[in-house]
Amino acid sequence: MGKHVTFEGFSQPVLEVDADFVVVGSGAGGAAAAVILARGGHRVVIVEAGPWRAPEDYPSTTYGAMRDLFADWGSLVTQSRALWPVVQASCVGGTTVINSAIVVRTPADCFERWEREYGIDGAALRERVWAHQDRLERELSAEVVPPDARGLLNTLAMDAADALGFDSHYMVRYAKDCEGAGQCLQGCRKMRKQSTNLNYVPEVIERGGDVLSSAPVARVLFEGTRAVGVTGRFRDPATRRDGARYTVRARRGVLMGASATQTPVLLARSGLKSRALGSLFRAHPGTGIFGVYADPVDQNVGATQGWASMAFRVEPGLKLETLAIPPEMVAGRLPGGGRELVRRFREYRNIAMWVTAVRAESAGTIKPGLLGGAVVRYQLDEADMRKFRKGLAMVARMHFAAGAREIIPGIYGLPYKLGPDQVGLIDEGPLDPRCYIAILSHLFGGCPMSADPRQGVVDAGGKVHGTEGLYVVDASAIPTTLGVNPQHTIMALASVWAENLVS
Amino acid sequence: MNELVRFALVSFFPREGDLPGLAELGVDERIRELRRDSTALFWTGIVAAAVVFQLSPILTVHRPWPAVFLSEDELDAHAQKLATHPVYLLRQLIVLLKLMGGTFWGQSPEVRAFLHLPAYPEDPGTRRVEAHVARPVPGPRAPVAALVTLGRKEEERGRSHAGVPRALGEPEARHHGEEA
Repeated sequence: MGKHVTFEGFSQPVLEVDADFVVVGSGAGGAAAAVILARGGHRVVIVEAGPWRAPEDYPSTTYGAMRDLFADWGSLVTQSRALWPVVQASCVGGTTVINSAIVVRTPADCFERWEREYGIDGAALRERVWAHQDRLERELSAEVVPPDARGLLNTLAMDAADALGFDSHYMVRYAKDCEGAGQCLQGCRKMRKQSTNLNYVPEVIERGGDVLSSAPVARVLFEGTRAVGVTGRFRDPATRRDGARYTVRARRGVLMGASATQTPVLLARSGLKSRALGSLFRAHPGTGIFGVYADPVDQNVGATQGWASMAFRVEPGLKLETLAIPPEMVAGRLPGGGRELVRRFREYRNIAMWVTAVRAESAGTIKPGLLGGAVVRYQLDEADMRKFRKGLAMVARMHFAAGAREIIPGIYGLPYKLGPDQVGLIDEGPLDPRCYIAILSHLFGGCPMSADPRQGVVDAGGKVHGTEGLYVVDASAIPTTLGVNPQHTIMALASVWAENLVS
Repeated sequence: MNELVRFALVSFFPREGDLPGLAELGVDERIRELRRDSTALFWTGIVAAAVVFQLSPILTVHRPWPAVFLSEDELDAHAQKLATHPVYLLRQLIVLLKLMGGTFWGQSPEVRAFLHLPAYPEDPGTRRVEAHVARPVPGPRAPVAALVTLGRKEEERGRSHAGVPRALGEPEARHHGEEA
């Protein structure tokens, strides 16, 4: 049995730990890789920047989620024309604690594209990824949202898709016996969502590994071109004051699973020279529209996300989903201020939020900033903005097909509410990203995978070009968008690459 | 500084009929918590937004003095116009104020009662410090009555597994996403 070590005070001595492998990050990629290595008999140490919060520690409020679970209070935004937030968690389990654990297998066309554009053996990788996805679905209890956990938010969306005649489905998620508490974004206090802090991270400890929490990595240690460990200081999650130093030395390898925004920055800070480092940053920008219904929808009662359609993934390149947001977030998101804003909020029980996520082709960069954090430069080009606008118009039409009286588009320059005969205003809406409120929640690239070291940071096995013993096992290695929710792909790719190291 | 932030936040969420305003919902303690808990960058953003709110009535209601000297109706119009101002950076700063004000206001027991929602329990703010963290064991499944009723309707409509194209875990029956 291994152990968990965390910040407890400034008087802690310097911590020195030896392992076969050190894994940086405990989210979808890091935890999935770590457990494969631990099952293979290796001694693994996971180093996580955030604290370990169990379900009994999860907050209920949005304020608590920002304070206790979100990275830097959710303050990372794209630095381009539009300032769109980049949503990530910082805790043991990473973003798997605050997402909806949506399970969609990696589409076959992604592997074909990686082969065509990045020189990867797509067919071989596809079979291994799908085999691991079989396993992950079994181990993490992938289930369709149960009928008595859906809520009107999700069943109305199914009604709309049926009425409009396009394919859709109730989501499959890593959630065992979901009871529709509607608290995915704050961490599932009901313990239904299978975030990695509940399963793979404890399993690593049970198999003799250690977990360091509240321990942001300062840099990767090298001897020549070989990565031999990581070092940093513990940090008090409440005061953000630094504590004792730690160093983890790894005999066989260092695996980076710190996220698409943190891994490229950490490698740059560690002195890695690669012309592709920080490049090909991509995302699925998402935004939504409120439908206003005659009867209460109570979107916060039922699964936070339970319905989706992939019918438009290839053309025009969109995913449609439901997304319940709590009242306190709606209060801040509705247009306006003062008494008018409060009057608008009165309709909260009658509104439903459905969203579109764009399979964007636009690419940006991730670089370290002057203060050491990530600087994200990312902007949708006109073609992607057209998809974005089209997705919103589709969501608007869905609401009316489901019986909404009106919609609240939340687009700058358009009226506060639109009726069924005004959806054309969205079709012809602005193409300026500053007119929309959006977030980046599915992130890719920054350390892209390519057989060519001039094009990519890692090879087809996740190994960093030009180094020994250094691997990337998170979404930063994925060189394109997927058009589906990425957690299942990240976990499977990390598993494949860790399996290579075991064998 | 706290007073400056307070003035801006409560201006966005005033009392409206039977819905209480943020000023009546313990906002001072919430602001103290925010100042203590948040990062320097986040707090600086909030203060900057509050300063902009205070100094910008000339841009909205055409009054050349700080917002604190506006009448109640002017202040209300200022909040509404600034939140929908044509200058993007102004709007974004105001989003930050609305986000925090909305968080404090919308999660209050009084507003949740208005929405027929139970009050939130206290956020524990705790973390694991022990060497061996036990795996949690979930309690019995208990969806609320409204969801159970809706679930029965779903089953009656034959939508228990609606739309999931194929079963999971079988090689010949994979859900690879490309079927769409």
